[in-house]
This record gives sequence, C-alpha cells and structure tokens, in this order.
Amino acid sequence: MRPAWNPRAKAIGALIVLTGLLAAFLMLADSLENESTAELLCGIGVLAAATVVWVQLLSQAGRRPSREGIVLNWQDRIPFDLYLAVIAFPYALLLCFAADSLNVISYFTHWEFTLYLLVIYAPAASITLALSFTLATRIKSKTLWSNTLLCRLYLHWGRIWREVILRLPLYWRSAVLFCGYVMVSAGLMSVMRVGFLLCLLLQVTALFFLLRWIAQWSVIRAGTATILSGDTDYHIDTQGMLPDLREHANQLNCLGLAINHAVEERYKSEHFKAELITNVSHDLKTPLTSIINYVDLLKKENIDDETVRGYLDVLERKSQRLKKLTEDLVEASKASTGNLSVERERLDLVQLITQATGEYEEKMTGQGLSLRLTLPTKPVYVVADGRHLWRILDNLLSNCVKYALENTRVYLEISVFQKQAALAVKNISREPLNIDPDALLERFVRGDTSRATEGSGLGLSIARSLTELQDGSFELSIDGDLFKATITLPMDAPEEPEHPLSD
Amino acid sequence: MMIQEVRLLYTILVCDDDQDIVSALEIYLGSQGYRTLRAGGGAEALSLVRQHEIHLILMDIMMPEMDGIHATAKLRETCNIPIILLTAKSEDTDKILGLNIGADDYITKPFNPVEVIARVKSQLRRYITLGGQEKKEACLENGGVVLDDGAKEVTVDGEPVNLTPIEYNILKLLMEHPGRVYSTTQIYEQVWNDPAVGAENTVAVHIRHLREKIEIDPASPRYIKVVWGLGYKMEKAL
Repeated sequence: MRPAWNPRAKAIGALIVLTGLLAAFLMLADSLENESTAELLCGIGVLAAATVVWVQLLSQAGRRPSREGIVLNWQDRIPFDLYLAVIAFPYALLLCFAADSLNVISYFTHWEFTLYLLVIYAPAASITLALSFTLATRIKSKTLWSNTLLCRLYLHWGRIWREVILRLPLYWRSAVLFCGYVMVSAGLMSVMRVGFLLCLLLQVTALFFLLRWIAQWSVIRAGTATILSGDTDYHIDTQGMLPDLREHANQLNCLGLAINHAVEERYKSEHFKAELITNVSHDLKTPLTSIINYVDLLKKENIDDETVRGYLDVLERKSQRLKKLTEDLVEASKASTGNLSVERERLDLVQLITQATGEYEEKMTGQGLSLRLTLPTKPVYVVADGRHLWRILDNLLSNCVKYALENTRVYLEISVFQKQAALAVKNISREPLNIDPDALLERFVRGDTSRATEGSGLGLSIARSLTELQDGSFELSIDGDLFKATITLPMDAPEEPEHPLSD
Repeated sequence: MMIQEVRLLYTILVCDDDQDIVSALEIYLGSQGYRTLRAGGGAEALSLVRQHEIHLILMDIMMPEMDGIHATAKLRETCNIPIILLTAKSEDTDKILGLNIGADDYITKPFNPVEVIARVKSQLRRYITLGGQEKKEACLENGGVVLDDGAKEVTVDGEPVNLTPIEYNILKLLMEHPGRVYSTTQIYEQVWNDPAVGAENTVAVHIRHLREKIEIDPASPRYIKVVWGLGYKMEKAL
C-alpha cells in the first residue's frame, strides 16, 4: 500500500480537483454555447485530469500518515442520514441555481460571473467533494449503515419502545396512534388505482388489533368478576397480552393475592382468638367444678351459724354465675367468629314460637308477666337452624324474665312482608334504659350499669351473631322503657304443611 | 339401710387427673352407698378394670397418659361396662366422638352432683337390673323408657313415673313412632281429638312437664327431643 498523504497534500489535491472541475465545467458550458470542438476536448481533458486526482484523493480518504487503518474525522462521525438531511436542502438549492444559470451564463458580465462562481459553483462543488470523501471513508470503515440514526433506531427499537413509547401516558399514545392511522390511511388513499384496496387492507388490520384488544380486555373483566365473587386465588392468564392490558391484569392478580392474604390472616387471627377462648374456658372449668362441688358439700355439713350459711349462699350463687359466664363466653366467641355449624332446614316460625312460649310459660307467670302472641294463622316458613333460632329466642325471653317490669305484658309478634319474616319481642324494662341500643349489643354491656343482676351481658351479642350467621338481621330499639328486639329472616316459599296423620 | 347395703355391691371407678374432683365424686358416690376406686389416668384405669370387678366407670377426657377417648376405645375391645364421660369440652363434636367410640353417656364440667348421681343410677339399672329382662306384650319400649299400655304404667330405667292422662297419651303417641316428628297441631289433634285452634301452646307446656318427669336434664333431653320450628319426637334408642 502506498504511504498516506499528509493533510497539506490532501488540501492541495482537493483545491486542484475543485479548480479542475470548475474549469472543466466552464469549458464544457462554453463549448456547448460556441459549438467549439477544441474547447470541448480541452474541457474533457481537464475533467479527466481532475477526476484522476479525485479518485486518488478518494483512495486516500480516511488515511493518516502515522496511523494504521481508517481514521474518522468530525464529519464522518455525524450520523449519515442526519448529515444528508442537513445538506440536502442547501445542496439541492445550489444545484438548481447552477443548472438554471447554464441558460443565462452567456449574458453575465465579468463581475457577475465571478460572483456566481464564488457563491453557487464553488459551494456546490465543495459539498460534492466533501460528500464523496465522507462516503468513501464510511464505506472503507464500514460505518455507512451503522452510523445512521435509522440504524440506531432499528438496533434499539426494543428499548425505545419500552422506555419512551410505553412511558408516554396512554391517552397521548392513543392520540399519536390515531393521528398516525389517519395520516397513513390518507396517504394510502392518495396512491393511484390501488389506493382503495390498500386502505381496505389497513382497515382490516386495524379491526384485527381492535378486536384483539377487546378480547383481552374481556378476559380481564371476567377475571375481575371471578376474583370479586370470592375466588381470590384466581389468576388471569397474561400470556400474549398487549403491554397495557398485561400490566392491568398483573395488578389485578396482585390485588387478588393481597385480598387472599388478608382474608387468610384475618381467618387465622379469628380462629386463634376462638381457640384461645375455648382453651381458657376449658382450663377455667376444671377448678370451677371443684369449687361448685365443695361448696355444695359444705352446705350439706351441719352448720348452725347463720353468717356462715349466708357466706356459703354467696359462694354458691357466684360460682354458678361463673359457670354461666364461661359457657356464654365460649358460645359468644364461636358465634361471632362463625365457628359454628349451621344446619339449615325449612322450619315454621309459628311452631317455634309456640314451642318457646311453652318452655317459658311458668317462668313468665312466676314473674307476673303475661305473654301476648300475635301470630299468623298460616305457618311462616324460614330456612334456618332450629337450635340456633331457639338459642336466640331463649336469650330474648330470658332477658324478659330477668329485666322486665313485674306484672306487665310481653308481646311476641310475627309479621311478614316482602319475603321477609320479622319476629319482634317487646317488653317494659324494670330499670330505666338510658343507653344506646347499639351499645347494648356490644359484648359485656348490660342495661343496668350497676351490674347487680345475673347475666353475662353476652346474651344479645350472641343473639345478634347467631341471627347474622343465618343471613338474618337483628335490630334493637329503645323507646323510653319499651324494649323491642326484632329478628328478620328471609322467608322460604310458602307451601301447605304435610299432614302425615290426617288420613 | 337396705338399699345402701345392696348398692355396696357396686363398684364405680372414678378416673380423673384432678384429685380434688375425684375426692368430691367419691364423697357423693359414697354417700349413695357405692364403693369407689380411683385412677389418675387412662392406663391406670385399664389395669384396675383387669384386677377388680367394676360396674361403672366415670372417665375424664383430657388426661395425661392416655386420654379418656383412647381408654374408652381400649375398654370396649374387651368389656361392656357402662362408661360415663366427664368432660370440660362442651363442643358437640366431642360428645358425638365420645358416644361413637363406645361411651354410654357424658356429663359436661362443671357438673351438678345430683345429675351425676342420677346418670350413674340410670346406667347401673340398665346394665344390671334390666339387662336380661324379657319384653312384655303390649309394651312400648325405647331405651330406658317402657310404656305398658295394659297397666297404663310408665317406667324410666325401671323406676315408675307418675304421668297425667294427657302426658301419658302424648308419650304414647311419640313412642308409637320413634324418630318421627310431630308438630304441636298434630299432637293436639291426636291427643285431644279436637281441631287445634290456637291451643298449640298447651301442647308445648305439657311436653315440658313430661320432659321434666322423664329426663335427667330436661334442658338437654335424651328421649323427648325438641325439633325447633318443626315439632317434637321420641329419639330412637341406639
């Protein structure tokens, strides 16, 4: 390989080519004007000589005297498409002027010609030379394609898509996409003859993407409904989803997991609480058994001292109270945590009231209370667990016995409306009820602040939990001394009761 | 005292890890004339049953060294001594497990001493006195309840019970179809022979009295069960 030229030699070479090209151009233009063969031949000769030097310069492009390989200068480093875009407009303008001037060149004065030469031809030729040099250098260094914006765009498309396009807010992206779509379809329409077909193809493609988006969105919607319906383990399949929708689906999946986790935690803690209360009450029951039994044995000893007998009575009463408390505590904890089995069956509320009042008849009359029943003549069927429903009534009626004013009436009513059966218990309180009904439903709250009466303060709380466990609602209202509890249960379809013995 | 001398023949094994409860039970059972043996755990109970002639076992469920459920299952492999479980667990599942494994009855702690004695007597009568009794004609029998329609007599575990004519008729109706649920209206129509118009409440009161006479614990009856919201039934004996 021949040694590389130094920059000065290159500059002189470039100047020679430039001058040669200009001279050749003038000669050729002149020869066309004058139809002179000598000038034509001379012009071709100069052009050939300039071309030879140009080719030499091109072969030297990118080479430096003391350096191996191809060295890029500043203009070679500019991305080629950017470079072209920058010079394209002035270059095209210059070439137009140059071509145009060919028609009028013969009328130019000397000064005008010199000016033209300097302003139009020299820059146009310089740019041509520079372009040819950088093109040669780029080809030699194999950076013609790689050093373009297009190539960078192509190579980094994935990253640009992720980091630029997808980071745009969705509505901006949609707006840009729509504008692009309108522009492309307008462009396609303007294509001659096949424009309509192309446009149709674009519409079909757009429809395909739109349908795909909608189909995936439907999958997400169905998945959300499934999660909402309680299946928090459900996982929406995000395979092959469009990025925005996949993000949405993933968020929903996470939400499902979070709900699942929260529910599990809550269940665990409730379960633990119920377990704790059950265990503690078991541990309380064993010593309590001994207390009750030995108090009973003591009472059977022949004790003449009245004071001691009085003490023993207190001990007996309080130990019985403790027994009732532990039992109620376990029940309240089980009922409020839903840790109870509910065996639903179709049963007659009227029958239940009849049975319950049969159980309480003597206790009521013992307190001077009289029961007033307002019952429908036909059976009122509800779907509930008979044992739990009895427990609710048991608590309400025993409250009447404990807290109702002597020699008053206790009202029991069943009313039916809109597929709901309501059972109301009303009585007059012995003590003034200066308390909010909601507070009365809290555990351990009792109507008498002195807490002198027997009872655990859990009865109404248990009744409410048990009612809710059977999909019913429990309401309390207090109006002066009138206490009213209402249980509302969904009714079952009315049906004639069976009469197996009537035939 | 004649009765006490007879009862001295019966030996009851009391098995509980709480010594105070065992002592109290021994006092109550002793006052009724029963001989008692004590065991602190299931394993000890098993060995005592092999060494002595025992007529009834009161067994706690939660004990160290073999719990009551295991001990009951082991005992049932070889003998059919009545076993009454004493338990602090009041869950239904525990009771059902205990009864299915072979226990004859259960009492939940804290218990009423009177109830313990009543249940012990009931089990012993059925195990010893009534074990080989022949079934009489015209007799309705269910578990320990026997209704002799000829003599118009009712006995529970061999002891006669005084019933009013209405209570007797209700019991008879229920015992004719054990397991079948009768509503108050049906009972009224069958027993009073009148159409029931708002008189069902009376039935409920009579049934409550009947339960108090027949059952040891009327609140959790063995025989006359309340099916809440549906009616009443005679529980079919196992």
